[in-house]
Amino acid sequence: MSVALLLLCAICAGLLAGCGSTTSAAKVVRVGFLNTDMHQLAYYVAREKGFFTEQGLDVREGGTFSAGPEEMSAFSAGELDMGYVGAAPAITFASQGMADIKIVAQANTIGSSIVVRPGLDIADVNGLKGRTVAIPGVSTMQDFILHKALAEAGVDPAEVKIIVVKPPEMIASLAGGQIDAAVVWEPYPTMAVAQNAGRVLITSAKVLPDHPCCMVVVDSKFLKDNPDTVKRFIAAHVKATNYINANKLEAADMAHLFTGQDTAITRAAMKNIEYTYVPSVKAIQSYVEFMKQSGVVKAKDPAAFTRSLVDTTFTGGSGK
Amino acid sequence: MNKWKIVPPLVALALWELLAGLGWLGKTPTPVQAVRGIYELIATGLPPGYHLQGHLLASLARVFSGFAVAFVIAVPLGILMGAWPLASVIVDPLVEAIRPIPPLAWAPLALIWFGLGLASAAFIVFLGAFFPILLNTVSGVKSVDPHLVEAARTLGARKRTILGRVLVPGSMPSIIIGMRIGMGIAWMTLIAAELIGVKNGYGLGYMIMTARDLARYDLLVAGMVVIGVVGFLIDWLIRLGEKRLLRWR
Amino acid sequence: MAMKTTGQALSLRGLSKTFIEKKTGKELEVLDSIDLEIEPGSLTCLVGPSGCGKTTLLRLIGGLEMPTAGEVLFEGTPVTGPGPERGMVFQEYALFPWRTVLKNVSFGLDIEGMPGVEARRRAESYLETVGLTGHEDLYPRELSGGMKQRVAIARTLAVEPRILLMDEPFASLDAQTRNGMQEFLVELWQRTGTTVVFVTHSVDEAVFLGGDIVGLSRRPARVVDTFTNSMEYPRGRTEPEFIALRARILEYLTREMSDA
Repeated sequence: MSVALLLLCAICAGLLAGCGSTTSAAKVVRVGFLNTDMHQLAYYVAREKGFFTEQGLDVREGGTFSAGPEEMSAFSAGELDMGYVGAAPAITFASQGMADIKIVAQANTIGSSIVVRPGLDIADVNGLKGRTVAIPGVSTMQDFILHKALAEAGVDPAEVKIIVVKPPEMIASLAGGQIDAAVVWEPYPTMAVAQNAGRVLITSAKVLPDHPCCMVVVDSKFLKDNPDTVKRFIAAHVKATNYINANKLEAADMAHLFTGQDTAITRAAMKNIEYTYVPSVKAIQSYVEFMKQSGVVKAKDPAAFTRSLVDTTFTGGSGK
Repeated sequence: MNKWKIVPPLVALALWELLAGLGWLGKTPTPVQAVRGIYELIATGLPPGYHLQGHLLASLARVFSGFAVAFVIAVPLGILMGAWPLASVIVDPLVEAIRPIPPLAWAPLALIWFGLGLASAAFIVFLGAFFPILLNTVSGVKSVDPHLVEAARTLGARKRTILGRVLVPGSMPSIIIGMRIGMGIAWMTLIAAELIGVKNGYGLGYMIMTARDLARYDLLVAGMVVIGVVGFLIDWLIRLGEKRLLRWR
Repeated sequence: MAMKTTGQALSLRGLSKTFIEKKTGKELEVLDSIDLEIEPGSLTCLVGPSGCGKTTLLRLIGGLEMPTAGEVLFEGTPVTGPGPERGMVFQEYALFPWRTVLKNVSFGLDIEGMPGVEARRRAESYLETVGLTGHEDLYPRELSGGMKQRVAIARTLAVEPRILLMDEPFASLDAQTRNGMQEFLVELWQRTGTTVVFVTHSVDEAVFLGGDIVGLSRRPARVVDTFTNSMEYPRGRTEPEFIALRARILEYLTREMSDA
């Protein structure tokens, strides 16, 4: 009978221990991300590899988003705590006061390209003069990249017909010859090339080295109330980012599961994406200045605005 | 028009201003902000440099061209189908198969077929306007008093005359109903279609999409107000035409 | 029986009509071998029990239906369809609501391509004939029943038919208007000399109007009896001769309606 009692105690202890370890430390974090965006691979890797759980975080997906502004609307409504999102929607929503967020880490830099349609025989950006070029949205990072590329080539943007086309429609439009070129993020450039719908004229990395793209943001109030949680989240993000960089092939296969794109595509696309985690205040500021010029951001002092928006303490970055 | 009709909308507006101002409606802009937004859309434009007037003209051009094509095909076809059972038997299954598909679902195909210009938006508008016009024309023809047809025959009218001088005028009230319904659907469908892609950067749907992307919800609501008002005005114009044409009622 | 057998305007020989109900395939025999000769310039009334087929008979003459057996000869030629030479006036008026009074009357002229000015002139004169001058620009919805019927008559007259087929045209009018219209019709007929075949339910009306009154049997209809009214026009409804004829016709009708 004492053996039975001992066994009973052992079982109870085990159960209690089990209950204890899962309830006492796990913190719920509602996360948003774009399920078709390879730039946000770190999120997926962290989730699948258990990096979040390691940190004692219970990450809940706060909704399915197909575009940045959608995700930012969710922040606006208080539905999300943290998220992976493009710099453009994060900054516009913050500047309009529609969402109170802070940028706490980078998800990736570069990772876009200017793609031209087959049959357009131009050697460089100069050839875009008088052409029709599509961007995913007004004042997006791609819009910024295009303007930079044109400025560098000495082409007046007014001499280029810039129109907005949603990325899924870009490839068909290129193939059909309705647009001459498109500026878009991976994996679309790689897909276009694979489908013989276009060729890469120049990558964004060449135009604007180390330009930011997707970021990790946090709801300001959540940050204030749970700084430790945010710290742990970013630790997991950092670990995932490093993992990707050390295991490119495996990461590409995971990207295939994450986005649904073919492994051939994801592998090729990854060559053009830089997964980092330290946000560059300078690069973000220069982007803010561009948006101010186009009139979509009303920031009296872009530098001050950027500093108030970006928090580098979690990534140990300086105000570079 | 009864002057008391204006009271409920005014009350609603006042309520909206009050609640939004207090912050009870989340970050929804107030009516005042929306009105200011309309001014900004006209003066500055969204994206900056693309003024409301340009967006409005582009959308109107698309909706009217799509609607015109729908009208020109649906009315004669409807009259034929209403007057000849055989025509109805042949065309009806096709109509009933396509009608349930929402026009917007055709957008990706439209893009491949017609590109990014006027034609693809007009095509989607066409799909929205076509079926109400067709169906109402058919029912209009079928509801023409058969005695009128017989009277015409006894006065010496042949088939073509009956078609043109009896069935067409007789079904006009129904045709106009079809037009009003068709135009209403066309306008709504167009705005949604413009969210897909516009060649020249103009369109009311594109304008409000941009407002959303740029988190300018005041301009978004302003745009919605403009869209609603324009839709109302178009319908009002049709009703005006109806009064003229159907004086005999 | 003082029916003339020279009848050139209209000849009905062994005219029969059977309808087949679409859904059940059931046969409905409406007319059973009608023989009738109608003289040019006459005013003949067709009477019979309710539902006996008077309207069907008129529609066959008008060409809106085709016989199952027998033939309808109009001026010696078989009738194959409707036409302006055999004008019809319906109980429901059938005026085109979207056309003004004037344009209704000129309809038959417009469709045969008559120039607008002349068509208008003719229409105006027929409107005058029916006493509706001044009403040219009104729409049918603005007219009373009697006025509508007069427009309908003017519309049919405008195409100058050689025979006028009228299907209970005054049935929906009130008694006073009806009497007025009967007098109007007699006067019109006397003036124009058009052959008239007039279907009616009302024995009074038949006696007032008809030179010859043809009595039909119950369905399937045959010609049972023909009565001649040789009274002078306009007829007094209280005259003994009027009342006597009326009684005879009522008697035949009663017989027809009660017979097994």
